[in-house]
Amino acid sequence: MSAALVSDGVRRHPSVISGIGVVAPNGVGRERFWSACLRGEHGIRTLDRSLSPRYPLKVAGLVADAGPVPARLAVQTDRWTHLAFVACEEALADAGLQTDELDPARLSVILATASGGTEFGQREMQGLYTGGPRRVTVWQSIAWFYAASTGQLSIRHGAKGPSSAIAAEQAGAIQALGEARRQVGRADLVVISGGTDASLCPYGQVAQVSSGRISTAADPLSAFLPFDERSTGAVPGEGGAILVVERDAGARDRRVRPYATVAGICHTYGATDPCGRSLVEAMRGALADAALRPEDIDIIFADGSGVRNDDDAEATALAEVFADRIPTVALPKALFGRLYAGSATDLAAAALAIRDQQIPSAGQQLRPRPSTRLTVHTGPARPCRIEAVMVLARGYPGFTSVAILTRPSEARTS
Amino acid sequence: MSELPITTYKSIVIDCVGQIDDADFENAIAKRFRLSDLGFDSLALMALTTQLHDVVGVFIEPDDISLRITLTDLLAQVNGELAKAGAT
Repeated sequence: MSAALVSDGVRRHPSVISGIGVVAPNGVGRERFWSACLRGEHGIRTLDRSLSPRYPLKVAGLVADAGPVPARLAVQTDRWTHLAFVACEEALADAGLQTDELDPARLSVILATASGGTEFGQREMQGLYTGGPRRVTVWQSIAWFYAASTGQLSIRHGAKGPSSAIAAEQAGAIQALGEARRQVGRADLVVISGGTDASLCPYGQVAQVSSGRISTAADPLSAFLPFDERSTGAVPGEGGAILVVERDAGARDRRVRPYATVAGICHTYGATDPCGRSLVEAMRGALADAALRPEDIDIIFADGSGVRNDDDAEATALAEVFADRIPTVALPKALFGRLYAGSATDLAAAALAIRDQQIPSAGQQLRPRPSTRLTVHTGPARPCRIEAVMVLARGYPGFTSVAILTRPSEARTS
Repeated sequence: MSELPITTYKSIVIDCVGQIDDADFENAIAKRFRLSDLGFDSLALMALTTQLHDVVGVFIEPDDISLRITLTDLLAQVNGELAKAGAT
């Protein structure tokens, strides 16, 4: 979305993030997640290899206990949707929303997903191959596909506004946020946005390992070190975040102070882009959309894939846009892995950083290569003036998205 | 099988709509809960009839019953079909 394509509605009615729910490997629940990010607590753990002994992935960001899911929904949905249920309940409560009091036409669900219900799908395929067609349950028809979480949340909360599912790997949640912002600008909607993923079963691993970008390192604490000399690739994780997006005026009418204003968004695509041109264009597009200059950005939540060429391209792109004044880089995903719909957790962390005026830690193991010229914050959280945050995300094989969140007047405080 | 054991019936229902504890299941039978009261929807109904066919050998067309049928009446219908099959 270039700045020129942003509608008048988006300009007249700024979108804000008014509710956040998080289910992440280093913390289930918004405040637990954020507290872990501030303290630099890891959520990457050793995988139970008995489930997939022949696959090279040894560690991943694992959600230990996401919390209860209604039994009827649990049998007919994938784990990825379970995580969305949990995060959504928290986000709606945080936004002070009772969905049964909303006009259904005013409530939308726009979620990102990268994998769909791979665990559920694998179980059904195993049933098919070992027991025949009658072993495939009716739930397979609704559990595996990309729009399943969007559909389930819309049914559960009675949402009948425009809803969709966006598959753009790591960039998906920023794209979902962009679409939410567009819908909020067009009509006075409340949008359940963000996204979750849970694709660590053997079937899910096959899809990821085939990209050649996954770390096969065994030490949970050092397997995922973006921008580091010792980097060996990306470590996948499960979880994500749900964000409630609505008009600033709507949140304030309920006496809810928003976390952040969605000030600028831009998407580009560059499947073969070793120099990071698509990222440069996306950053500049988002700055133009937000009517900000590079020097207005206080922190950058980097994409940090952990793949050396991509990390180099990202550092080069940042240097091109910010010259010799690249803001401090926040990289909390080094603590819990890439969550695929995972720019949702970056967006949640960025909004919480604005709320608390603190930069989260990337963990003390990370030591960025000097050649990247990046200052990644690796120590414990530190206070910092934060008015504008840029969130970068690149989804394999070329989705590139950048969001800028700014501090609203009368912002939420912790 | 001449009659569907209640424990088997319960396990089939649980497979379709998730956990139900013993007290709730007995309550649902005693108070003549409808399938819709237990959270069944059209897909869950299809799953239920498929499971009944697989486990008990009785096939009931989903279109022939509705979500308004009670657990008790459905059990009686299954047992009626089993009795008919036993008589022939």
